[in-house]
Amino acid sequence: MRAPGLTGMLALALPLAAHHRPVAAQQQPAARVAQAVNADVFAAHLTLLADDALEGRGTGERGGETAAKYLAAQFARLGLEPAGDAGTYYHHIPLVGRRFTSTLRLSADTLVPGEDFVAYLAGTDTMATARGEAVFVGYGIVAPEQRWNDYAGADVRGKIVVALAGTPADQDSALFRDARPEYAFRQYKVDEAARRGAAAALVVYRGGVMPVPWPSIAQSWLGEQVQLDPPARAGSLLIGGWLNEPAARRLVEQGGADFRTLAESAARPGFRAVPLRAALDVGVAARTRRIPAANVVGRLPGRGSLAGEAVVLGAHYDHLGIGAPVAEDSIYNGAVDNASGTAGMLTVAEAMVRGAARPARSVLFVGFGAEEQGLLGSESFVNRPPVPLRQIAAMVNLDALNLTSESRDIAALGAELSSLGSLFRSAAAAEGYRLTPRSSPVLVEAMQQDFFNRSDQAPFARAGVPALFLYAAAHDLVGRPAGAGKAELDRYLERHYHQPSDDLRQGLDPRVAVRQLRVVTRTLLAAANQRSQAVWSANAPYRSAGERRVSRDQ
Amino acid sequence: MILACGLLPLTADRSALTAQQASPAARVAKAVDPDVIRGHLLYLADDALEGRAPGTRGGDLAAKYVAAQFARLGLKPAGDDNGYLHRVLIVSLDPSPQASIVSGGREWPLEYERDYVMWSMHDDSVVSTGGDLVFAGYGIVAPEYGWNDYEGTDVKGKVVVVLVNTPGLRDSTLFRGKYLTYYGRWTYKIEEAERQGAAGLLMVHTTPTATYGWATVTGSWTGPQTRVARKSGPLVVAGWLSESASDRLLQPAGGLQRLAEAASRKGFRPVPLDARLGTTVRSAIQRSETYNVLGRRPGRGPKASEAVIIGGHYDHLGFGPAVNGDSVYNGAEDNASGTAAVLAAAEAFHRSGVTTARSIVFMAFAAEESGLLGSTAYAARPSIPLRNIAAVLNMDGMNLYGRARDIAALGLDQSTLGRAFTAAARAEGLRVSVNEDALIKGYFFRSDHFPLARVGVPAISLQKGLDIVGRPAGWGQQQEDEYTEHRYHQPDDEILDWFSYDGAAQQLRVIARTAVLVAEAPRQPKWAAGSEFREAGEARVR
Repeated sequence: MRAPGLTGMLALALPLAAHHRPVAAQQQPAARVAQAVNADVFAAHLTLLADDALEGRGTGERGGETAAKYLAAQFARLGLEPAGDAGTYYHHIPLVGRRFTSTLRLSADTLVPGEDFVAYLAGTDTMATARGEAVFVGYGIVAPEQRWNDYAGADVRGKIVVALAGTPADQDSALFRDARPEYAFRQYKVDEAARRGAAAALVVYRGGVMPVPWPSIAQSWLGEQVQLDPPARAGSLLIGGWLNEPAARRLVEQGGADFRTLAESAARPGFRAVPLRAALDVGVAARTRRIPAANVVGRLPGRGSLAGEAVVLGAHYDHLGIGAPVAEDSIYNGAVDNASGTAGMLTVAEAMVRGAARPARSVLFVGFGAEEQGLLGSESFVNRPPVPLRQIAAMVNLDALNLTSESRDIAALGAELSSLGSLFRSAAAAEGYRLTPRSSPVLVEAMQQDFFNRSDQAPFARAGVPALFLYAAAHDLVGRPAGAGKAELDRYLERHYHQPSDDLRQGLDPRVAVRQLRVVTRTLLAAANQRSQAVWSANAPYRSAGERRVSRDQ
Repeated sequence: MILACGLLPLTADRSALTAQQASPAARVAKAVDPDVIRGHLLYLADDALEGRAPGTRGGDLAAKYVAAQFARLGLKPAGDDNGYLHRVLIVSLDPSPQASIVSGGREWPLEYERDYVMWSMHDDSVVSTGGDLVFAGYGIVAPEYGWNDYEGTDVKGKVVVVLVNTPGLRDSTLFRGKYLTYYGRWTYKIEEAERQGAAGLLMVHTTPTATYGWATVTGSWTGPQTRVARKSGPLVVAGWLSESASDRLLQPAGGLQRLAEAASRKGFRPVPLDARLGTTVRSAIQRSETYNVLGRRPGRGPKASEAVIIGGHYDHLGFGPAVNGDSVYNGAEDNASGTAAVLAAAEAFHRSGVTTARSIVFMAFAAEESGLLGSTAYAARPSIPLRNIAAVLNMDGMNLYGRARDIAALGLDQSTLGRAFTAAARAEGLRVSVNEDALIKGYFFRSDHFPLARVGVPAISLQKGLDIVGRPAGWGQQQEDEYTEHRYHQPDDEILDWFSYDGAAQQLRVIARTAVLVAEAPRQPKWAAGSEFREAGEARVR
């Protein structure tokens, strides 16, 4: 198509144009493609995906499978290339559901599952036991930057470790300031114990420390755990779990120590692990079932030397399926969450195809599965990306669009974290939006609730891919009193979020999506066409992950 | 890159220019996209759609999919209540009849399934009727053939006994000889008996006239009979009479053989049988509903209220007996393919930007496999007045075997639609083949265009060309035969790896061109002079 020999010249010419003059010749196609975003297309997809016939698109349920098939058919209709596994649109999510039954004996004392403890298998074993003397490891934290090591001088190999939930900051606010939040989490403590060679790790639940009441934790662990395939074996570690505080107290007292004293000692710098001189015997069995789940991936091929790279537009298509009825309605349609984002993703795909977008980088359109189970579709995408991560230049996620009223402002979470922010700003301006002020109540809410870490962009960001999350709330709604945007957000979160009433009857206006999707289209095209990949800002927590990503061999 | 960017708009403009110079038909044809056919087919034929049976989750998913696609393409709703869906009320009756004949003062009870089968023509759980029996030959009133088996006889309130098929079977100079006309179909016999005001109808079964044996009769007309819910008319019961029971009944009047010969001669007059039928039919009734799906691309100007329908049925058989562990009857060819083609036609019109004088209505018919119920219900309660429906172009089973050199359609001989279709085929460089077997077996009467043809709307139904490019002679026919023998109405009617969508796109280009020609023509198409539907066609526009 292009005369040989011109390629080099074009490559030279390109950066000039990209940097100095986003010339008309380049902007016009973006405008043309943005203009191809069509309200009928969006409304049709939204209406179908949120219909009761799709049964709430539950993961592992026929409604979810039907939604995946729908996405694949739309990709095929648009002539997108299959970019999933083995020449299909489907990218397998290795999802399992596991139910654990466990026993825990403390010398002659048999503890009650659900009341005193819950335990699970950390690897793929169907059954495991650990017995022997337990070792109290304080908070179970190794944090060099905090000059803290609960394992200093201790050998816990093959042993059962017991660690407190939370961090030393719970007892002494001078400690662990600005520490990584995950030090407080069960998962971190179990992983750390595994790195130390322990056979089992039990985290002590303490009412004053944990925001969630014990019965909720116990209940969730007694039910099915939906997760990605666990690693075959987490080091030597077989078993993880929670120990309720009264049970922990009995354990400590059997060894002749005092629980309170021991717990207090854990918050003192220089703490050393303490053998508890009491034997524990823990056994766990698992029943595992595979849950069919897939991401759906279509590719609009790029042109030229950057075609091997890609930008991703993602939206999770799953929701909660059929569940407990509320007001005689048991279908959790998830119209806003996230039929709207899925419809938006399909609408942008259609606009790019019909608007004859010819991006330099390829565009991957991804419907993520299993988001509601904890971002598992996007996590598995990042674990086993169809395109090497270093070649994924950017990711934009749609999870809930504003379908209430036209707004004067628009926001993308993560905009301040990477150079994608400036592309988004230009795109928003081209569609007549202001950026939502950072101090506006809607964005304050987003920060407080940490929305950026709560949808499918998060695994991408953690893996170093610059990412944006289009925000569903705006500050200033046209024709509405000031602050109406926050009121709309509150109303949705209180009345409809994860309820059967998140359906088409809540009064959604699909036309409001059009301008937002034009901004998304322009942002994606800019990220696909700029010479260099987007980069993280200097102060972004994902910066080092970003550097690792591009330096990775592949 | 910069060069490319500079060049692109130019290229785009140039092609837009050529597109504008091209005829509207050519522009729509050019916008037909095989990917679109394939994409829709992938979804509709997937196991997730569970075989799209009427009144099931799968059927519902399919109807909603079609409606969503119509909405995506900005089509105007053309069903009930300003929506895309047109309600089809279905009734299913499981009959338990009792019947006896009184002749010469003696009563002989008929034995169900040995001597006869019978069902209620009213949607009631119990019906009783009785009446004098009259032999009405083939039960045909066909002015264009100068034929009237009811001539001079009032059969109101009586029970008529008729032969199926037409006199053409015995005398090739009559009717269309071995080619089946609608007058030969059992459905016609019922309709005519009802028009004549008869209270009952008994059809004489012989294997040559019916083309199937008595076992097929007892297999098909016992158990639940599904049909469109209807208002009760004069006809209370209908049924089949076995050959031996018929012969016994007709014996006093000369016997079956002699009466059949008489009935095959011009000038036949009905023969009163000096016998009475008395019958009671109890039926277990179930009612259900399903939906046709219609979207309109509005025309422009004074003819915009008229319409050309491009249609195909979306339903199939649903779940059924497992074959090799597969219980989903996907109906990929029958008729996810035709439904996909209807949607792809709508997309081609949309993308071409062509607007025609008459509206184009895209229609997915419901419950075809249960006996053309969606199209029958539509003909009975059309959302567009019948006089405004210029034509129906039906697609039932697309060519998924590859690009062809030829194409075919049922009904080309019936109306001036044949000319439009032939011109469209020529524009696409395709030869029009004639399928003689289809004429003999009367395939024209077996898909969704037909109920509309019966009420006078000129109609054709697309068929495959079988001369496939790059394949040896006879290969296409071989594929067709293999489909008919092994996959038709089986769980194996699935998407096969080797399917190609270029053949279907070719067919669809011809249909799209035909639609434009008809939609732009000064007048609506007309039935051919010799067509059995001409009278209905004239009645329709009066």
